[in-house]
Order: sequence, then C-alpha cells, then structure tokens
Amino acid sequence: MNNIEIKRSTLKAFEHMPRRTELTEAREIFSNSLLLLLFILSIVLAIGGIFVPNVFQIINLANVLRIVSIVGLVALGETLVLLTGEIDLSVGSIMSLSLVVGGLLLDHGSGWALAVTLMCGLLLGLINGVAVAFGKVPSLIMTLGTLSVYGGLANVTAVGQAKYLYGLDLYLWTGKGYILGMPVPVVIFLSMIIICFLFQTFSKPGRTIYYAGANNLAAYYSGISVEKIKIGVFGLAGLFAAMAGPMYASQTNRVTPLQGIGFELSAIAIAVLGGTSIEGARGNVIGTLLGALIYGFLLNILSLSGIGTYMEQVLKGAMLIIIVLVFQNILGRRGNP
Amino acid sequence: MEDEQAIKQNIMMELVKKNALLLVLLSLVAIGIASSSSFFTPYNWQNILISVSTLGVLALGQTAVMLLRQVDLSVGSLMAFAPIAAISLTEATLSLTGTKVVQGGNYVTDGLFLIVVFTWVVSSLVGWLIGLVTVKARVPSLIVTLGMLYILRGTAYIFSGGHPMYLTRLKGFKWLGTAKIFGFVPMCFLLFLAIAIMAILLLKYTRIGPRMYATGNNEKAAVYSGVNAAFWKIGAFIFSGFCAGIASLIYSSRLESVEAAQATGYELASIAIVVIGGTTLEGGRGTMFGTLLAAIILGLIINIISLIGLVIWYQTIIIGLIIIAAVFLYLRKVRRRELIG
Repeated sequence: MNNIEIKRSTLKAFEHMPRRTELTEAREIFSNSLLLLLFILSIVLAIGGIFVPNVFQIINLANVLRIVSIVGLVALGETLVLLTGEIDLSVGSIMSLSLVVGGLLLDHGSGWALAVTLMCGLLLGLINGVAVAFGKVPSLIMTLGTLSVYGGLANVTAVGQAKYLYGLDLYLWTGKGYILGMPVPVVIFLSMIIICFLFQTFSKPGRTIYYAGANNLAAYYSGISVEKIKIGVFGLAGLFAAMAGPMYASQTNRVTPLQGIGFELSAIAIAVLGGTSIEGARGNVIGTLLGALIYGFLLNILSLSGIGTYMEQVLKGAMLIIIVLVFQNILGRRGNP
Repeated sequence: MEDEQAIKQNIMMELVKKNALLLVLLSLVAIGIASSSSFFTPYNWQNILISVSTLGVLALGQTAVMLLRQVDLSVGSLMAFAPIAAISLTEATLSLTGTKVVQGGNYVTDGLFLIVVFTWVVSSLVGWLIGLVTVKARVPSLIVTLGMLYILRGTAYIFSGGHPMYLTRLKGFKWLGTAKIFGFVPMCFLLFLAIAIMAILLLKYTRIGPRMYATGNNEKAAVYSGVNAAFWKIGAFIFSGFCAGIASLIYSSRLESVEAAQATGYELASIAIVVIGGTTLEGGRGTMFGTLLAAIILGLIINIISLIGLVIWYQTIIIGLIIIAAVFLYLRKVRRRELIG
C-alpha cells in the first residue's frame, strides 16, 4: 500500500518531464549543433550553387575565404571570451589601434611593424582582461569603454590620416599572398582554429575555460584561477584581432585608424552563429569556423545575386536572431560543451 | 565628544556619496567657468541643453530596460528607422486622398501630424517586437537588439533609398527643435525634462516602480511573488522604443532632415549615460534621476572639451574612461555595502 503510494508520488514528480517522442529523437539528432551548422552551410551553398553559379568560381571562392578568415580570426578570439561568460566589444578598436601603432614603424620595415602590431594587440587585450578579472568591472562596460578609448587613441595616434603600404612585400603578403595555393589568411586562420581546438580539447587550461564560464564560483572553489583564464582569453582576443589587422589592411593597401570599426559586431555575430552562447561555457571553435563560413558565403551570395548591400544588413541581423532562436528553443538549453 | 564628531563626519560622507552626481555636475560647471569665458553665456547653455535632450530621452528609455537587467542596442538604428518608416507610411496613407507628401524627389511637404503619430507607433511597435522575442522566445536581449541594429539600419536605407529626406518645407516641423520657452529654455529640453519627471514619479509613487525593481533584482523571486515579469520587460522595451521615437523627432527637427545613417553609435552613448547615472548592468539598481543628471553631466563634459579646443577624438577617449571609472566606483560602493551587510 505504502509502496504503491510512494511509486505514484514518484511518478507524479516525473510527470512534467518530457516523454520520449519523435520530437525528442529529432532533437537528439540535431543536438549536435555542429551537425546543424553543417546542414545550414550545405543549404546555403546549395542555394547559392543553384541561383548564383558564380559563387563557385575559383577567384570568388578565394576572395570569400580570405574575408571569412580575417573576420573569423577576430571571431575566434571573441569565441574564447564568450566561453568564459564575458564579452569583448573592443576587438574592432584594438584592431584599429594596433594597426596604427604598428604603422608608425612602417619606415623600419614590415617585420618591425607586424611585430609591434601583434604586441600592441596583446597588450590592449591584457588591459581589458586585468580590469575585468581584478578590477571586477563587468566586461560589457569595460570593453564598451575601451571601444571608444582605443578608437579615439587610434585616431589621435594616426592624426586621422592613412598610411600607404607601398613596397612592403612582407606586410602585403599577409593579406594577399599564397602558401601552397591557399591564401595566407586562410592558412593562418585554419592553423589558429586547429591550435585552439587542440588546446581546448586536450589541455588542462583549455578545459578550464569552460569551467570558468559554466560557474565562476564553483571553478574558483575547485582551485581554478578564474582570473588568469579571463586575462588569458582577453589577451588572446586582442592578439587575434591584431593578427587580422594587417591582413585586412593589405587588402586596401593602407593603414587607417577606422579600419576595425564594426568588427566587434561581426565577430559576435559569427561566434553566436557558430553556436557559442553569450551566457558562457557553450560552443566551440569548430562551430566558429562553420559560423564564419556560413556568414561569409551568405553575404557573398546575397551581393552576387544583386539583392543589394542594404538588404544584406537586414538579412545579417535577421539571421543572427533566428539562429539564436533556433538554438535556444529547438536545442533546448543544453548543447555541446 | 569624539563620537559626535565621528557621527558628523559620517553624515557628511553619506551626504557626499548620496549626492555625488550633483557634486560632479556643480564642479563641472565650475571647471567650465574657469576654462572658458564663453561657457557661462545664455547661447552656450542653450546649446548644452539642446544637445542633452536627444541623448537624454534615449537614455531614459535605456534606463528602464537596464533596470530589468536587459540591454537595448537597437535604439540608434531605431532613431533612423522610425521617422523614415513614418514618412513612408504617411506617403502611402495620404496618397489615398490624392495628396503628394514627397515632392521633388526627397522634400517632405505635408502630413506633419501623421508623421509624428506614425513615428511614435512604429518605434513603440519595434520595442514591443523586441520585448516579445526576448521574453517569449527566450533569445537574450543583447542578441535580439544586436540583430535589430542591423535590420533597422538596413530597412531604413531601403525605405529611404539611401539619400536624405529634407523636411525644410514641412511646416511646423522645426518647432520642437528650435522653439524657446520664455525666450530662453529650449522646447526639446522641456520635453526631455517632462518625460524624465514623469518617469521619476511613476517609478517612485506608483506600483510600477517596485515591480520593475523587483523584476530586475531577482526575476524568479518576483515571479513567485506574483509580479508579471514578462509584462514589465515588454513594457520596458516599448518605453525604450517610444523614447527612441521621440529622440528621433527632436534630432530630425533640429536638422530638418532625416537620413538613414543618422544617430549611428547613439546606443553606446545612451548606455554610457545610464551607467554614469548609476544604473548597473546587474539590474534592479539605479534611478531615472541619476540618468537625468548623467545626461546633463555628459553634455557638459562634451561642451567643455570642445570649448577647450580638443578634437572629437579626445572626446571619445574621455567618455570611454568616464564609463569605466563610473562603473568601477559604483561597484566599489555596492560591494562595501554588501560586506557590511
């Protein structure tokens, strides 16, 4: 008698849980967000192939992949920051400022300029990280502040003027060159993705990025130095933004203090498209790779089909909202860690 | 005796802390007077008040949203989209009666009343939509409004065809931006003040206030105590959209034109004002009065910087530093209070 009642009450307690239906099975198939992303990418490419065959011309492919790699590199740093539950709005300004500071040394040769650009990006990212980790300033505010501080400093440093990149072969090679028939940005982007993937999956500090993002306090009590991780990811975000800078600058043969404007939003859009949650601890860098490809090809197909640049913006925004909506509601609140 | 002194000192400290924004404002006025002879002239003050009102109205809406632990990045784009969409709607409506609204390519000549009403309706509807997607579809507001930032800007370009619309031939439109009450106080500043006072009173003396603060502080607890959190969140977004609509009217009325690229970056400036005013990102803390003061403070800072003769680049640097410093100081204050208990 008692037993039965207990059983009934336990059953009741489980009543609200979802039953296994076709819907849950379908969810399980798609719960691997990477599969979903691959599916979306193939749909995008198929539609592009049918309506705009020019997409698959070698020259167009190289162009798309080059731009995808440059924006994707910034998005890669953004992904790492988002995984720890923080956000970095300053990556665009970091790109501008580090480009301009590196540009001061253009007379001394490409090598110095590139080295200083990278150092500057790393340093600016670390400043963000230290303020967020030790100053406990919310990252949204800190990087919103540095977005305008770094952006202003870039203009002050360059006195609002552009510097032209004539005869700087190494500098231009980073954006326009080829390694084994592949554009240099693509090679760099892919290798960074692979390094980050290996780092995240197989190394202890890489795993701790997720722990810090999932539960700050729990991570802290488990003896993980959350501060160090946060400083590290912000530093990396700065470094990647600075790395993308010269590649982007050499596309137009000049270094200007306005070059990075808007990159932060594209980077966040790509990271989120790739399945990274802005609440932290969900997503991975392979997703970011796929997200960047979807983003790049979609925009390319749109501009080739003559819909117009204005429509691109609209679709970019709609895509962002819809994909997060799908991730939130169809996949539920779980996903690939 | 010593105790008494200590208590007096404590009271003084409390007073300073409570009125920190007011003190900052007064010291800024002092700095302004000291740094430039043209600072304390009626003309300059009119300029300050006018420049304050657009961003101020925008920041009031943003405050409501941020009190509920949300954020609205779309207000800048909405400031371009709402009037352009309103003009298109007015054109469509009045073409039924045979009146041509847009003449000579891009001169708006008729339909003042409809344009104003449609601007309000469109901006409130966009706010409602954002709130709906945030609350019902559980998409974080950061993402929804980031997406809307693109969508609204793009749609504004499509509707306007990319070229500016001139409102110089629209009778009465420039009244809001140029009229002076008592020959001195700009009309748009009075409008800003009126909305601010209304918001302050609503939050303080009606049940709206406690409900919004409760939702922002701890949504779960608020829901379990019978607060309709979803309703208040959507309401906050509608208010934010509505404020963006009014801000766009002030802005366009000043310039007598509407452009798809207008008010780019205003979302960040509005967040800056809200944050300086003491509303934290964690929600449930902050006041509309703080935002009102912060808007004037930011206006004063920008004015002083340009009077001193620093280029606009330094403005962005200084504003960025102020945002960071403000949040840093507020957080220290809050943490100390929490430590004490």
